[in-house]
Amino acid sequence: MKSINLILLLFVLFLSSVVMAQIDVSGTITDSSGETVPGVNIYVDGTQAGTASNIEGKYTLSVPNKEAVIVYSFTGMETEKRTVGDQIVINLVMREGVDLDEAVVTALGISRDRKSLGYAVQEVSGSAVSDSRETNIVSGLSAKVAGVQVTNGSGAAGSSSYIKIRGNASLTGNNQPLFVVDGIPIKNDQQVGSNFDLRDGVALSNRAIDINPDDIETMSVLKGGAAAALYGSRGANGVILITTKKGKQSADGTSANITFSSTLELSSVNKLPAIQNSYSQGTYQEVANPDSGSPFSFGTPIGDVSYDGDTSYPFNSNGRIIHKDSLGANGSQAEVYDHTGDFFRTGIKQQYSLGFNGATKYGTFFMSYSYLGEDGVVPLNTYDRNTFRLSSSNKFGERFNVDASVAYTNSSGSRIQQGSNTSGLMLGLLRTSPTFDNSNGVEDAEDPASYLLADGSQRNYRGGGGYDNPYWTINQNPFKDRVNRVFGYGKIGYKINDWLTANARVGSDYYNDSRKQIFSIGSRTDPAGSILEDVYSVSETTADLFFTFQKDLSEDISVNGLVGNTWNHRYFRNDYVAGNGLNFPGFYNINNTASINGGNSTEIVRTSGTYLDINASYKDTYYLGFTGRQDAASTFGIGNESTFFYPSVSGAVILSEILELDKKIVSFAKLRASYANVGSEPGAYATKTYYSSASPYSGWTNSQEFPFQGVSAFTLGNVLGNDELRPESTATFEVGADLSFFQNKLTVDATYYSQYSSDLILNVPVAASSGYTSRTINAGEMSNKGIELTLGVTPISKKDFKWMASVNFTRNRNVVEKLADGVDVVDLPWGFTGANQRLVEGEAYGTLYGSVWERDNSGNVMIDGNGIPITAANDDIIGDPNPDWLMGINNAFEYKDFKFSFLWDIREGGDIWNGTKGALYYFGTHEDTAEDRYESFVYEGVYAPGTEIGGEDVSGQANTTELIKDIDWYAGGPGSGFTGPSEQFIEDGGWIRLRQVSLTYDLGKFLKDSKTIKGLTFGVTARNLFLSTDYTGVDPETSLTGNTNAQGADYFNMPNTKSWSFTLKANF
Amino acid sequence: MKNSIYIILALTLVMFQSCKKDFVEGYDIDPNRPLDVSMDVLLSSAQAYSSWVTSSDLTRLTGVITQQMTGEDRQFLAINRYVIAGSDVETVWEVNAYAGGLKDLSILMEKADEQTSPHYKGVAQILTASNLGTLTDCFGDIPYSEALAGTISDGLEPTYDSQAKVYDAIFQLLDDGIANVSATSSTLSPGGDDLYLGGDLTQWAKYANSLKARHYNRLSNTGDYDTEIMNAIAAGFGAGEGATPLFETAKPQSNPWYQFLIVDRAGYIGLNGYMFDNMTANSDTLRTAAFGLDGWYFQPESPIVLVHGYEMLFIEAETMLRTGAVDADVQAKLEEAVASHFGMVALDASDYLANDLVDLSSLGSEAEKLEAIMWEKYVASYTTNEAWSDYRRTGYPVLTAVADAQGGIDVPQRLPYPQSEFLYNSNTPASLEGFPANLTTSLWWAE
Repeated sequence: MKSINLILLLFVLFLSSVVMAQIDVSGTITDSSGETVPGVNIYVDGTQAGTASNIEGKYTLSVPNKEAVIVYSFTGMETEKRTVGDQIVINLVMREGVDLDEAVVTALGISRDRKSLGYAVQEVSGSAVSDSRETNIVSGLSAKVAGVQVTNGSGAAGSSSYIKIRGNASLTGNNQPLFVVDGIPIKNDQQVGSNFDLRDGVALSNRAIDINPDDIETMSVLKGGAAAALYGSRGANGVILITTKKGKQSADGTSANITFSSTLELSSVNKLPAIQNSYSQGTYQEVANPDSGSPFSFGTPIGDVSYDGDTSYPFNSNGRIIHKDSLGANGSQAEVYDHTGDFFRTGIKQQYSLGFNGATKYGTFFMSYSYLGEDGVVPLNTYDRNTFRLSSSNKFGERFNVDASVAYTNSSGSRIQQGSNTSGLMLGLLRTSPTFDNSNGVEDAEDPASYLLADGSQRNYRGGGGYDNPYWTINQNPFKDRVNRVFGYGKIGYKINDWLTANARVGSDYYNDSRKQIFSIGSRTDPAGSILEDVYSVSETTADLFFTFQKDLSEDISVNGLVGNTWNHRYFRNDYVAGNGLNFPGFYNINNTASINGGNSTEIVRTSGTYLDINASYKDTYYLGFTGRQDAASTFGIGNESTFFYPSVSGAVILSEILELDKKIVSFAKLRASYANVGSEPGAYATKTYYSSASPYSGWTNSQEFPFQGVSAFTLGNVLGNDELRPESTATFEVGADLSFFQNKLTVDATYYSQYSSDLILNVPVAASSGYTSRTINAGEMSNKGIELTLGVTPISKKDFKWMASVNFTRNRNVVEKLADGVDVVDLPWGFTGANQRLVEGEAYGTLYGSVWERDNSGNVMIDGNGIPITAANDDIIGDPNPDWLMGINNAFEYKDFKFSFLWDIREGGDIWNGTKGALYYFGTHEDTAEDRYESFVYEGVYAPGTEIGGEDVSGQANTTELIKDIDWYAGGPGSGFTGPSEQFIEDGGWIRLRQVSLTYDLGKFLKDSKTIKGLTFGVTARNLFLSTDYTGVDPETSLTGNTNAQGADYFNMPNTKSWSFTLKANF
Repeated sequence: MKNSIYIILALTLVMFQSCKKDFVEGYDIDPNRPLDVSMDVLLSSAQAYSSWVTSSDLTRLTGVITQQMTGEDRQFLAINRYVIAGSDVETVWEVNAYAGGLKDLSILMEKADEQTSPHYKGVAQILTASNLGTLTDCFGDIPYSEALAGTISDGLEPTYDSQAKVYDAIFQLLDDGIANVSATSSTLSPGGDDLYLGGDLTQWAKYANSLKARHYNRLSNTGDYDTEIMNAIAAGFGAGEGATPLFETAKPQSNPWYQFLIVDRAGYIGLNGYMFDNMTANSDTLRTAAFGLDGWYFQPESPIVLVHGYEMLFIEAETMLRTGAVDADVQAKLEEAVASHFGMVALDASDYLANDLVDLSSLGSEAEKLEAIMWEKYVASYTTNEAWSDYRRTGYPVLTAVADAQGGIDVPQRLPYPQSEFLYNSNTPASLEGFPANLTTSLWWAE
């Protein structure tokens, strides 16, 4: 509530200080048919300030003097210019045509004419991102850009999103694009930390979440290759360029504009695994009660289960469950509990955003504040964010221009244990037998009656053993984090002469992320209780000195470009302290623990580079561009003397200027091609083999940590360092066409790219018997080939009704072409035993690898004499998590004051290991295990060599031995994910979803007489309203691992959500 | 126009000349990790890893195989059915043994030579022998003579030494180790960094001799080593002695069994089955209590048993039986052995010895007597890997394979090599890759 009061205060203050413009030019804009044209962008030439025509085509604009030139531009119309002179009214008829002057933001934040570019850049307006009302700007890009794959971690409040442009370029390094805000690289990492594991822990945020979506003017997606070559070693995965909003200057100097928006969003879980509700806790059709500790739900059919009526039984107020025919049964029918339905709640998110932009005679000013508060669908899961931004641009005399911007974000989350973890929320929730009530009948999620017994021990379905009761997890194992972040830049431009400008820019991004995880005494993760505290201090500073030039060398030839030098310093520090063994409950400071371990690590990476970018154009028809960048990086070490050069060349030809085309049919046609070679530097400290603190562990336990018995211990690392590392290299060839037909009613933007990465740095595994497990070398090769297609259609464009449709299509084929000599499989450093991701020569990146059935040469499953299929001794390929293609289809309608749009998001293919299902088969809580329970079946396959039945050798014969689908198959046999091959649980993760539906209504007509309120709109947006998928678990979009290379695993993932949001926007 | 081109070119040149290397140099060395360390921290590391080689993944697998315990949950249900894969032993090789303790020990031996410290060298040799013994008794042929080379030029794919050759190396290491720990001068000597024996070099010599006794006895099917065995026992651990390092209360410093059975994987392995059933039938109730979750073995600070004097006494009893000693003498030795084990787990053996221990003289054949001795040793070997080795060598106790064994195989004779060896070391014996050969092929000393 505090934040809301603050908003109101700011709001009143700003209203009282609004200064309106004084001198006006006005007029009406019509098209060739005489219809008025609303929304025409009208501004004084040479400034960014202006207005737009209203619904009746009318406008009013302040101009400084008679010499001022007014520019009128509108998509699909030819841009017009008028000198004011003595006119007070300027009416204009605009002609339909092609807007050739559309500018896009390219590398280093330079605006260029789209038509001059020889490579693909796709721009997304800030409003398109913010209108999705997503917390995370990365999620706001979902299904909007060809060539881009976005995966939302889960519906958990504050969870992260993963973005990948054109497939993976690095085998084991980072594959996320570089995020650049106003020319300054910023962090979009997700700190996992020394005390956490990707498979468990909590849903963490990727740091792009710190950006207020309402601050964004545009997002430019540089898809790699030539577009990103100017970023050298950091551009290999593409670049997301974010330009923030700036103040708008009006002609006479002073102007002020306030925008305010308020959103309320209601969300609920969109998809859950199917759970059985027909069999009680227990085994072999016998009931078991919680104090038995039984994990299984293979008990009595619940219709035959009653209670013993002992109301003092602590695990169930109805008493113990008992067969209804047993002695002592009280005759009442045992209840079935809806674990998930009772547990999840409606999530509520509120967002308030206030922006001020204005100008004086000397410069512009932009200021914003936003607050976001989210209560997730899981009780006690919250995320709060406050953002501030100040930007100003000022002219000093004729030559100096100074820009500065600073943003501050403060966020905090309260997050919930998830995944493979005995305190994991979904794990406890879905394994619980249908006859046990996790909530113990209480409504309030914070009421200890659900999870605590009278003696202070835990109340759960396994009598205190097994897994934490979900209510215990949310109350007793809290994870809280708080992030403070500041990022911004200052830039001085000095105009040396009319064609050359010198620029100096320094920007910095700093954040501090402190986290505290508590496991209370009695938690299944750590019965003795523990506290983990982690603090991350991360910063990145970039300084650039560069010259930009623009010169017409002759009437037909002009050149522009830049040359500069950049210095980049990245700093990381993590301090952690872990206290084990709480002395007494209820007080959660590290000083209340029996043993304390701590440590820290720091990392510094420095790079510097020189870059050159030259573009030439001839007759505005032929374009040629060249970039070059020479980099040096600290991570190579002094053993390596060389610096590295990354070139690119690109060209474009405007065919529609050369060929005699009917402009009414082919309005615009451009062909483009580019080639670039960029690369990535190795990670820090890979050049040497270091000692580290000894930490033995086993396959099923955590590690032993030093100091131990008063001594420290150091062991030589298992990764052999290499001081001869070279940068990774990615060569990209790209061709494309931008076409526009029927006066822009149909636009096509098509790109084909072929990217080949070589010298990929890889920790190549070596046999442990050598004393090491891997060595770091430049060895791997990987290719990505793909098609990106963007179609725009405007079937109807009438004054009162407009229909615009757009389609973007992405298809990428990734192949790991080569690993190292003699190595064709490499583990990736995450995943589960028996189901993980690997690099396999000839297969796609991150191929799912896991346990499989033993098969003969023709692929028949081998069956043993008991009719049970045999699990192979070694793991093999089980699936490919990479989608076949992605498509986003957006339809937008405008009717009078209404705007309506809906966005379909289609993903074809992409396997997921449904580890959740594999586990629930084991416990007997999955619906499948109830549907066919006690049915007999014969597993298809042939008897293994040497199999004898009744003394007769049946090797190679088709299996005929019947098995029963009961606990002996699911838990005792190989029918579950724990006891049998994970290949049984690979599923297609494709989907068709209605990503977003929006309806906005412009209330402007009710405000005609208002002098203060300039605009008012009301909008409703729904997200994930519809989802069609063959995947049987939670929403296949979810991931435990957030924005990391690890994808394609579902092991008790948090569910995703669908939501309705209501937004009111006002301009003053 | 020409001027402007010159200016651009000049700017470019200046930029490319600017000294980029200066800015990035000096940030290539990790401030968080050392490039060299002293011998004491290496020894502590090697011992910690060695403890986890014998007492985590391996003892869990061997305990289930010998039916001293039962796999009852999750993957351990599969293990109970002998569905044992290379992935089940990967951490043994990749974390604790080769890339862990054995590597640290080989570095320690080099450093001990450089720093003229035979005491460290001897301790490292004995520990190396201990690890090799554990590994070869589970896996058979293993890399040693070419293992741990550590450089690309020396080869990262070591050949596999035959088990006989590994045994030769073990005995050589132990003899050299005994000589080195007995050296009169050593620049540096282990002290508090020695987590096993606190720097007591006399105890180290006993530890080495105990290992000699264990491994010579293991070869009893392949030749006559009775003299070596008796000599080693004489110089080995006595009834109340042993290498039984302790742990601490806090979870990250606690006993690996405690971490597995109580904290991380409660219920995965049940403390029941063939051994417990027979002990209960034999009124061995004092020990079944000590063997339970609340008992001597599984507390956070409980020691793990690497070698203990009780084992020497059992080996002595077995050797006496083999060499024709009279029943009464063997019986007396057996009683000493059982009492030693009771003493280790802090129990009074007198009642059991008086009422429940078998009387060898009541048994007819030598085979029956051996079976009786091996039963007692089997019980005493709880939580170690010894019972499985004894079973494979003597066939006692007579175990029946589980009814639902995958592929109907008998009790496993060996553990599979980790998959990483098959993938990355072309010398790994291909004949032992597939099921069931990876589990059923006998070891050399058990043939």
